[in-house]
Amino acid sequence: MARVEYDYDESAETWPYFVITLLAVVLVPTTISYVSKIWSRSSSGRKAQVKKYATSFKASNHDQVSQLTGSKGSGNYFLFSDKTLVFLIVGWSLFLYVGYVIHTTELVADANVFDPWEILNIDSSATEKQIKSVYRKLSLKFHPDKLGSLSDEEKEDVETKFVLINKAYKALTDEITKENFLKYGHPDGPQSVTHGIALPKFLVDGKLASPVLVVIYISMIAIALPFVVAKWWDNVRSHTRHGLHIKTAAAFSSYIINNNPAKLINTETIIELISKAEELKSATNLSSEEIEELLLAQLNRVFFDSKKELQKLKVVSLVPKLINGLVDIAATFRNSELCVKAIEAQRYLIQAVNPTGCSDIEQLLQLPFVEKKEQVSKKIPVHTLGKLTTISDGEIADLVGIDKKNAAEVRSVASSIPVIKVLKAEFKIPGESVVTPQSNAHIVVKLLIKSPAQKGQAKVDDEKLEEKETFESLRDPFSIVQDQPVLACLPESPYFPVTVENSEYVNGWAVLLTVQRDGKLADSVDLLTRGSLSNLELSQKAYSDGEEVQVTTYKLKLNSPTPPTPGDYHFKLSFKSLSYLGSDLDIPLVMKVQEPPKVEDAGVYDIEDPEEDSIAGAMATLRGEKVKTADDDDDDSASDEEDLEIESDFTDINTDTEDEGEDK
Amino acid sequence: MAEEEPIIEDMPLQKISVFTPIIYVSIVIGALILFSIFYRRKRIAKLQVMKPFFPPDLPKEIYLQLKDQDPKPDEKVLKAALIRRGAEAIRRLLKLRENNQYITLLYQKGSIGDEFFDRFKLALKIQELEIQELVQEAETYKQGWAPTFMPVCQEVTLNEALRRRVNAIEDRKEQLAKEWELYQEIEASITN
Repeated sequence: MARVEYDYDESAETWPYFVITLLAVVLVPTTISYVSKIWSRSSSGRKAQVKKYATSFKASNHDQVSQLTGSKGSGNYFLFSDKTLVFLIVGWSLFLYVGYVIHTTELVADANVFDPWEILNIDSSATEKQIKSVYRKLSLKFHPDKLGSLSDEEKEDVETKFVLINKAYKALTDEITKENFLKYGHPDGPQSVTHGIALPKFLVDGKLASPVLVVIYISMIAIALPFVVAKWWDNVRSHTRHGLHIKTAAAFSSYIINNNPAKLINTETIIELISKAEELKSATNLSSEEIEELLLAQLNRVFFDSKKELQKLKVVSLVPKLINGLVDIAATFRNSELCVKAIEAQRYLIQAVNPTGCSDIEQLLQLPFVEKKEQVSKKIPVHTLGKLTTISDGEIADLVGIDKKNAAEVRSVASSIPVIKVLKAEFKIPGESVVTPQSNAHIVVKLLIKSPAQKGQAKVDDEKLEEKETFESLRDPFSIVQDQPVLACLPESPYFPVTVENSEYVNGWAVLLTVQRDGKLADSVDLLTRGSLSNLELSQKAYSDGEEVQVTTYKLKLNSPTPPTPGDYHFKLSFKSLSYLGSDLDIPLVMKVQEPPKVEDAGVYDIEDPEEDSIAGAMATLRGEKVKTADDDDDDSASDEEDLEIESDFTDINTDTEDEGEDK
Repeated sequence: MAEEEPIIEDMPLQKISVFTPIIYVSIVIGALILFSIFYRRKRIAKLQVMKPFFPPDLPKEIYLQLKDQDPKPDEKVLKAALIRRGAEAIRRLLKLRENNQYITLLYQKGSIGDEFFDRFKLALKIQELEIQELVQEAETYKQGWAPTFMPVCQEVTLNEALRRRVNAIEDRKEQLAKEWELYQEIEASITN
């Protein structure tokens, strides 16, 4: 009978392979992610159009700011990578060692392996005739009768050899033996089978071995595995997809639901709301009141001793991410007021400007050397950055109350704060010349990112504003946007630390599309984060000529389809800068929904879901009327427009989140 | 691990006590019962620590207190208190229903956690129960009052919502004026 036995890996043949595979499984992905992280960091540094504005101005908390920022935080950067790097080095050296072990251990050929061709010393393609002749020769040579004067040992050797030769010959010629050989790998039928266990012997056979193995086994299966899975799952459960802690998300949503619509939202409201965030509490171990106090101190440019100042800046540096999460939640509720106020609050915190009482000069307060609002002279009627760049250095010094030698620097910072100028904005449906009902549209905006110092129109070729519709662009209309470089924060606020974590939330503009009729958001809030900043360096003449002007393309994808009934729908497209004051832009936008030129298409669109839109329509008329009667104080645009027509999918925006009683 | 070596060579007929299956069954069932008890307790404890969705319901408290007062107040007072309670219940229910779609959307997007979603669903259930209770309560005062009671409550809710907005205008004006530093000018124009 065949014997089955389990064998431990005594000669260390298999287990190094096992270990090396395990190592590779862990090491290769870690290394790839590590390298790509380093690469993306260095390349994003290259791609992002970072132009450092070496300003000689140092805010009172300059040391603490630079301690937290990414630029001086190279130590911080290494701290982050330290653990991974050590792990990788140790891992790879282990990998090399195991590789060396594998390389040096010779494979001991198993004596049991039966290879008839080798025994007969012939080629595996040999014909039967050849086999026969070789067999005859060998059997003559090794025949036991011809052994003559050999020692016993040698005799035995030769005898076994002879038996083997016979077997090999039979395996290749005799039917039954051949079958056995093909089935079991041996002419005698099934042989004893050894299963190697890829464990070194000391783990199994030593005195302590068995307990050690049990302990390892239990700690792996019963402790380590559940721990890792639980930790991962806990993290998934405790954070939303936007990386917000679920408690924070809950606090934000319940604020929006319970918010009294009659109350105005301002920066203080937002700060109060943000300070409840779990992230800030766990990062600082402070109560929400203390956090609120710190944030208000940032707003009012109150500075503390270095330890508390550092804490304050740490809290402030976490705010952009929270604001981003708040805006996402508020946008789902179609609450445009809260979105706008939240983004504004972020800017005020970044620039450390309290708008109350000085909203007319807030743009000037973000400039270096302008530390207090009392510094700004009320006599010179300059409130905007654009106007500031037109006056002389002496006047600038008088205006913001600074030394004349610093005026040039103020001017250069003022003219490098990017503003946008929209050249063209339209609704577009890929592959269609008009905006058809019930289709997925996006907004194409052609704009210039320019300096406030550049005045008037730029003569931009119409060619630059046109997009050729190629097969590629039809497939992915957004690729052209993605190909543009990432915007970087130009002159950084002297009061705010831009870190690796928050930089994605402070660069660029937030884009909000609101419905004119009721002032609600039409879609989720998007970010304009890619574009060309090269225009900032153009002279006024070069800008007006328009030859070197770089046009930035921005596309806003609409998640809801266009209305089912043709007509004009009015929207407002707002660009809200994420970190600068005075870089915002609002443009009106009309969506002209028309039936497509082809008749057959219209048929298809009509059939799609007539039921739903009729119900939605009925609901909308109902809501539209009711809301109007009770909501007059909220916005005048609603009362201006007497158009009560059913506005399809966009009417669901009309449901007034803030008003409790009116619906129904 | 290595102890699983059943000896199958000779199998003497072993006598099993009658209690063995009984013990086995009772252990299994006992374990399941224990599990269910603890599980339920944990769930109830979890529900208890769950933050209520709304601030305390004052009109409801007032009504219950009035009802339990020893010299019973006039029926008109009780009815008025009940209408107040009904108005608040309808306000909350409307608010929840209105936000239902947004909360569901947020949950689908993964922007809010399970706990908040559960709290919202629970609040919706509680509010629906509250309405049922109100209808029953109304019926105890006068048979057939419920059909007219609910519309009255709704009207109160709407009226209050409108009132809140009208009354807020002054506050909003002040706040905006402060932000824009126009306060003195407005004050001047009012006094003129």
